[in-house]
Amino acid sequence: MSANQPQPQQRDVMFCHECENEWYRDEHGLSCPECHSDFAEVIEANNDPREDSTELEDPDPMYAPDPDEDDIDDLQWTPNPPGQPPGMRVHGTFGRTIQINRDQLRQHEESGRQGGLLGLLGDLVQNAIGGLRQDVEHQAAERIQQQREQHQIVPGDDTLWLDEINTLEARSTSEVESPPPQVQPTGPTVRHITGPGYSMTIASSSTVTGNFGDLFPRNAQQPQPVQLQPTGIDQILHQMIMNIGAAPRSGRPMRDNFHDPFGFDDLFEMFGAAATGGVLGDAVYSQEALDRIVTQLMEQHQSGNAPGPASADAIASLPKRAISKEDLDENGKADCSICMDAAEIGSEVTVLPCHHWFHFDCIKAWLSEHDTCPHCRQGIMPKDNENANQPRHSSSSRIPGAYPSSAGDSVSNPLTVPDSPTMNRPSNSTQGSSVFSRMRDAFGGSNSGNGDTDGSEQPRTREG
Amino acid sequence: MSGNKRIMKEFADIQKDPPPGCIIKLLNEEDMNVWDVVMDGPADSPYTGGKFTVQVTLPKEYPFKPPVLSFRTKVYHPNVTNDERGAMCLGMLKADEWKPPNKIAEVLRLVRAVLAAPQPDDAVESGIAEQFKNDNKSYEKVAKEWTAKYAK
Repeated sequence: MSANQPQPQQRDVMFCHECENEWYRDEHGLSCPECHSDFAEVIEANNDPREDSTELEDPDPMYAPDPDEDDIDDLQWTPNPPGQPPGMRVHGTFGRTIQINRDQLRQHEESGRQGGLLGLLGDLVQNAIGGLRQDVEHQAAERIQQQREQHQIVPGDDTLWLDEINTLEARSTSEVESPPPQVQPTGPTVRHITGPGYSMTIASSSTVTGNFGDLFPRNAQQPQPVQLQPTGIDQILHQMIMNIGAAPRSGRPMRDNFHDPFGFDDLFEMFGAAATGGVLGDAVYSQEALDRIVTQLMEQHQSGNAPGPASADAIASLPKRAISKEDLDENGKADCSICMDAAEIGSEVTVLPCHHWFHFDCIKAWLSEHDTCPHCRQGIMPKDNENANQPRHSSSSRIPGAYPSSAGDSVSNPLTVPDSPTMNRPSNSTQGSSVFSRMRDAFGGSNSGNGDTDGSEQPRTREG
Repeated sequence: MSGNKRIMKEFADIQKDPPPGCIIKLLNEEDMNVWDVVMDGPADSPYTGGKFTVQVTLPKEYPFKPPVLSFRTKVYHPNVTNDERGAMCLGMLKADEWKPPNKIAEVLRLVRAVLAAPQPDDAVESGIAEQFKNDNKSYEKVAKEWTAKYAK
């Protein structure tokens, strides 16, 4: 090789379509020096006539099907300088980039090793974290980039060649553009191709760039790169919550939080303690939020808490009795508490299972709307369906702690106060003050004697 | 009609023995169902010295349906809506909690008790309730101002 060997890239190279000869234009002109054909063309980077002919005609192993061929995006060949026997010297430059989805790769590597629930959980966490990191890393972590390599291919001495390429590879690896701490080099792959008049070696090393803070199982068979682990359980929970579709808090992107050293505050906040009003989807996390929902439900069902009407048959079959002296209060009077008319001794009144009595017309009008005693809210309809049209019989004598019924159930109950006992109910209405006391009144009142709010004079008839 | 009879009876009783601090009249002599109540502001409250007009409307179905209360005097209170209705949210006046034996006199006693002792957890004016709980002095100040301004 002479000292004034011209640089190939500075000179036009001609290609003969007849004999596939190549020569420098400034040395031999536009006609082929071999076959003297005019059917020749200047080889340019973006117009290489050799591609057609060689692919069609040349069964060289050099052009054997290469599974990676599609990934070679920058392939240039420079011919031997004229003066050398054609094909004896090949100068090649490869530039290739291979992108492999890392998830697929890992799945492939780990197939058979990891499956079932554990694998699913691993994938879940992986995706949760990976998904978040994508925001930050712009998907760089998802790729394996095979670095460009440049080889000078020199025929003859293969051994020398390998060394040279390995040296090249070493340099190529160190010249990775991505941040050095996040680079995971793998061993170079050396491919050897020989053919008539040339030999070629392709050494490629792949370099994984991106973030290794993800969770993935160790591969005990191989050395492991240093992995940056998530720094707190809050981050993992955060991401899992994100993964199940909880809306991100407004005003602040999630990934800010990722770098927040005080993540627990945000975690609680995310669970809804403050920022979202204690509501996360269908769940509430604060007393206020629960109160709001209960109040809302009660308002939506304005009359929903009230029991329905009693049946006409049940009302008609309520027992009746006459007012006796024992019904009179300390002033010698007895009133029907609905119409407030006086009930004279001997007049007939209707008695409810709870022993409260009223004029039949008065109580009929009320029970036709609500199956509750106006005093104690106990209903007259039986709880089971056996005697749906019969009034419930007094069960007070069967309940432990019930007041004894001195002369049987059908006679007057001296403990019944005909006057309104409402003022004895400190927990009624706003006096009770909390939603829960109101709720207790509303729910408890209809199916129990409500003795805790209605004074202690009423027998409890809560059914066991 | 029994309802009307009861109303007349209740009205007669309440004239004989009115709840403390209350003067009860009929708004219109021919209509027993609308009562006009003038209530003195309870002592030891920011409403003391004021006279608050409360209109009590008794439905046709009374006593099977609850009466409706409306403050005609503006009042700065967590449990009274600050609007035209001037409604006070009382549990015993709700449709599903009302019981026929309840009497107007008892309702008025309860109204006055709530006026003296607001129930911020059952508030209809949440802003006033917050102030009542967190900045009671400011609440008292405004309530007194309103009393002096509106409840003469």
